[in-house]
Amino acid sequence: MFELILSIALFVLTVAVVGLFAMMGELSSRVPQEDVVDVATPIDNAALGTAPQIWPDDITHLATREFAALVVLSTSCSSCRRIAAGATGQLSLPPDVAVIVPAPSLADGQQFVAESSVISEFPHSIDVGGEWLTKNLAVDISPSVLVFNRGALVTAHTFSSAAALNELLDRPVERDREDSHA
Amino acid sequence: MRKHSGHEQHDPKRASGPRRRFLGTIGASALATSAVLFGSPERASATYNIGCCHLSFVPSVSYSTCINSPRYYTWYCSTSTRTCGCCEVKNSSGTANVKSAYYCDSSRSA
Amino acid sequence: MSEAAVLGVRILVAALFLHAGGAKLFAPQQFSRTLRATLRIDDSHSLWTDNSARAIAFGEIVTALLLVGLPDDAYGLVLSALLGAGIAAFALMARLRRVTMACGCFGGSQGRPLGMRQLLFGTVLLAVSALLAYGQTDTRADNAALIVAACIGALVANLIRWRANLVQPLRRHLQPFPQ
Repeated sequence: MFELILSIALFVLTVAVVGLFAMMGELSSRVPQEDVVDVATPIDNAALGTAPQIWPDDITHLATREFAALVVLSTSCSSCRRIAAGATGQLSLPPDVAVIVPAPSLADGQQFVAESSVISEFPHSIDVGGEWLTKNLAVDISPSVLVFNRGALVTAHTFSSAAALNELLDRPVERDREDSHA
Repeated sequence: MRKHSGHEQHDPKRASGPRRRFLGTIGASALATSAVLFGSPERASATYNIGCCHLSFVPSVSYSTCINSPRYYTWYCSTSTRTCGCCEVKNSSGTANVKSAYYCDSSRSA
Repeated sequence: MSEAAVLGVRILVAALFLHAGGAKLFAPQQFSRTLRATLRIDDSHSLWTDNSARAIAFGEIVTALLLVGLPDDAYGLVLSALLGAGIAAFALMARLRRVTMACGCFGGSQGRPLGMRQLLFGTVLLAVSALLAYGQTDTRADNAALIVAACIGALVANLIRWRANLVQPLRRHLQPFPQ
């Protein structure tokens, strides 16, 4: 009888320990590893002014728009994963925004999109090996956002959080001017 | 629902020594099986966050080794304070990642 | 079926339920989100689905305890068969409705999307429960020891699952020297 009581006590403790770990795991996935400051920085090497000849499937419509933005969220980047999971805040993006996911393989990219609640809301494309981005636009960094005017790259910035991206896309024209004056 | 057929010759108290050993064995095999059961799906999708990189494995080679390997995939990531290069060495057919590497740089230029 | 196999499988299934139930009881949010997406419940009813997730978790814990605490009886098997059928039906529904979220079946928000794995798992669970009920013998097992074995199984599974997080504080000492 005593053994049975002890074993039930252990059972209850096990439930508590397993639950505690699950709670800690849930919390740790929400806490950023370092303080996130909302900043956006221009990408130095990006091929500004270039208009790619070929666009990836699913986002070809962006090539003809007067204003279009392409958000780059890579599978290899933990900050991209936090943004894609909505952990840095809600994305409120204008229309004609698409997401491109550079990934080592199509399967990695698809899994990343499937796990993200944010990406599937937008037109999105997986850039296997990051080939399209690096070859056409010389962009190999994320999280970043590329703004196009009728298919030509106008600005390219990295950003640190959803808020930084929202702010950047909220006033792209002003920022263009700031950048061109700088 | 409790059955009482058969095994009447056993006295559970007297048989407690062998029974315990037997249960110990079951416990050990349960542990091993649960390790496989819980360990393998995690391992298949095992990932590792370091710097701002999200890598397939714990980094085991240097970044320069990675980008000098025959097949690799590399991408940069940025945070508010630094830029990191994240690299996956791929197998000879390029279908799977086999090793990971990274480096971080506090300056903004990648 | 041999007595050892019957008890071994009971311990294994109990450890699994104990782990899933314990984690989901304390971190039910992701499973609750999946419930809402699959059953097409509005987000305003999140309290309701959170509590449903906790109730399912509690059911899993009770099933685990019955499986090992009453090894001569079929109560636990009936419950685990019901849970298996429920998991399979839920996974099938999620698949048909193209829900691509992580299941949260083991608590927390990490994990792969709900899909074939859960469907297969539910079906196997149903089959195993039926098989155990069919092959049931009077085991006269030491139920205290069985409970302890299931607890150890669940705790070890827990350590394996969270090993990356446990090692994380040490990782700066383990990383290769950057070049």
